[in-house]
Amino acid sequence: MARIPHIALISAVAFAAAVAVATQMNDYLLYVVILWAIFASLAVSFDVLLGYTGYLSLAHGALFGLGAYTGAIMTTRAGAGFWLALPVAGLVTAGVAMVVALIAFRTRGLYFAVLTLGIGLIGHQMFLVASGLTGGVLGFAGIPGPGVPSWLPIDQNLWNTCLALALLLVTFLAAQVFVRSRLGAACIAVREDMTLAQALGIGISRARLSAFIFSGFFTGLAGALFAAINNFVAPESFTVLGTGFQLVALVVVGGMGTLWGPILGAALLTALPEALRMASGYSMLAYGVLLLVFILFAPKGFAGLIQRGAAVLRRPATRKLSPTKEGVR
Amino acid sequence: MLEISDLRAGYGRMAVLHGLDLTAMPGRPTVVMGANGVGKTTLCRAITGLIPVWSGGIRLDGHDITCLSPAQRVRRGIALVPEGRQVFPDMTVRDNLRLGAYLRGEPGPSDLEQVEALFPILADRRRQTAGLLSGGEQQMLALARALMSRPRLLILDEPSQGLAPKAVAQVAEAVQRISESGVAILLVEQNMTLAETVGEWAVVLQGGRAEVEGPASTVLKSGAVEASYLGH
Repeated sequence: MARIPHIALISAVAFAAAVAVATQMNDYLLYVVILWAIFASLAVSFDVLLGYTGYLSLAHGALFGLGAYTGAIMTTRAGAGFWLALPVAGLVTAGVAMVVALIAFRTRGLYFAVLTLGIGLIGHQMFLVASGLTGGVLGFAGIPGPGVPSWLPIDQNLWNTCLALALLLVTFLAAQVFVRSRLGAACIAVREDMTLAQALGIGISRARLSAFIFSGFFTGLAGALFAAINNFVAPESFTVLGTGFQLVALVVVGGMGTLWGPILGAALLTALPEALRMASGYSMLAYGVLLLVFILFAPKGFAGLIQRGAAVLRRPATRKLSPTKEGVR
Repeated sequence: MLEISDLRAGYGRMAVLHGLDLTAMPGRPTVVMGANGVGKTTLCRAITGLIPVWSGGIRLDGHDITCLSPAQRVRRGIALVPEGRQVFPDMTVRDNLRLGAYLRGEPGPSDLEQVEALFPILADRRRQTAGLLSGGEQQMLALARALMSRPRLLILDEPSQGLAPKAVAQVAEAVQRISESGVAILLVEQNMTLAETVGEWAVVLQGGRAEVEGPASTVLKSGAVEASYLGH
């Protein structure tokens, strides 16, 4: 596995390159980049949970909304600045994620998915019902954006793009550190074989709980940034069927358990609907077909395709032993 | 060292162990024999804390450990090689070994050197994924991984399962060496050859109880094992 300093360096270069490209873009393209970066951040932190512990949560659409509404309420009603609201939204979401996890981890597999589905539905419904706080079905308008620092000679859209890209960078690096830690190793052991992990003395509850809280924190950050950049949020952005399942799709299409795959998955699945915007009826059709094609022909996602390609390029002569993991299992 | 008295345990409402007594100590490898379904694996799980105990006591060095978590028991020196030679197939041999030392943090180089000296094949295969090892090698890895926690009591749940006779002989040799280094051994087995090679003390389980107990040389030849399989 590559080391953290190398990954940090490569990520920082990629970030700088992305910002440089963004300076040449028009506002519409910037908006697509922002959407991609926010959903990529969501997908990366979701991958820490889904890819490394093997637990499928459908509550994350609602957690994303919780971060968004917390940020919105902080910056409007509480009069806090964006830079205070952002970490508070992360912490509040992480706290709620912990409570959700403590309940949900009493179950496994399908039961876990259905239980978190219930929590996702409750969350979405609360955003609708608690209209005093959230604005209900009409949405929450007038959320102040993250102001551009006065010393920076750039406009709001470019600044928003930089922030979204920075969130992706931070989330990605934090996730890399997490999965390499002892807790990360414990999460993998839990995913592979829970009883065996227990027999080795690995604290399975602590491992999977920390993965859930980790994903909750960064999901909250993404939510608050999403709200600030759009200046408006509505419950329809945080449904189980919309955002909840979309996160699963981003991670699976990108490549579960790789952290970088979901970034590519988010790029593909954000760009596609935008590219097909003219033919809006066909956009969701293409989306569905794309999911089918990936599950059937590239079950390890984008990342799996790239890894296989790299292995072929590296040693074309000794391909016989390239350990295709699907075959071993 | 390990004293189990009147142990009752089971799954749901079904009792499997009905008041089992057993002891194990260093220098006297204990082998537990018995047919399928008499509670051998349940016993291993109860000692390591993977299932709750209904009543009775488990003591380690005089301390009651009946209610401790699996992790606390590993910390006190109990290690289990689970049934069915379980390794993490997608991880490398090295990473499998590292997880064995999970509770001690990062294992020192001397730990890895020690187990690799005991199992040279694992040193050769260090970077390979464990799923590519042969059955015998995977069992060696499971054994070595258990040793990474520096146990004082090693519990082996049917290590011969699905292994070729040659691999069984290798397991026997390894267990003997571990025993000689001062680790107490509790071997749960159905394979007579392995039981005879390793065991000094033998216990025959029947109906969730220790039916016959004594020096391995006499118990294993007395026909008690055969009788337990035939249900007499």
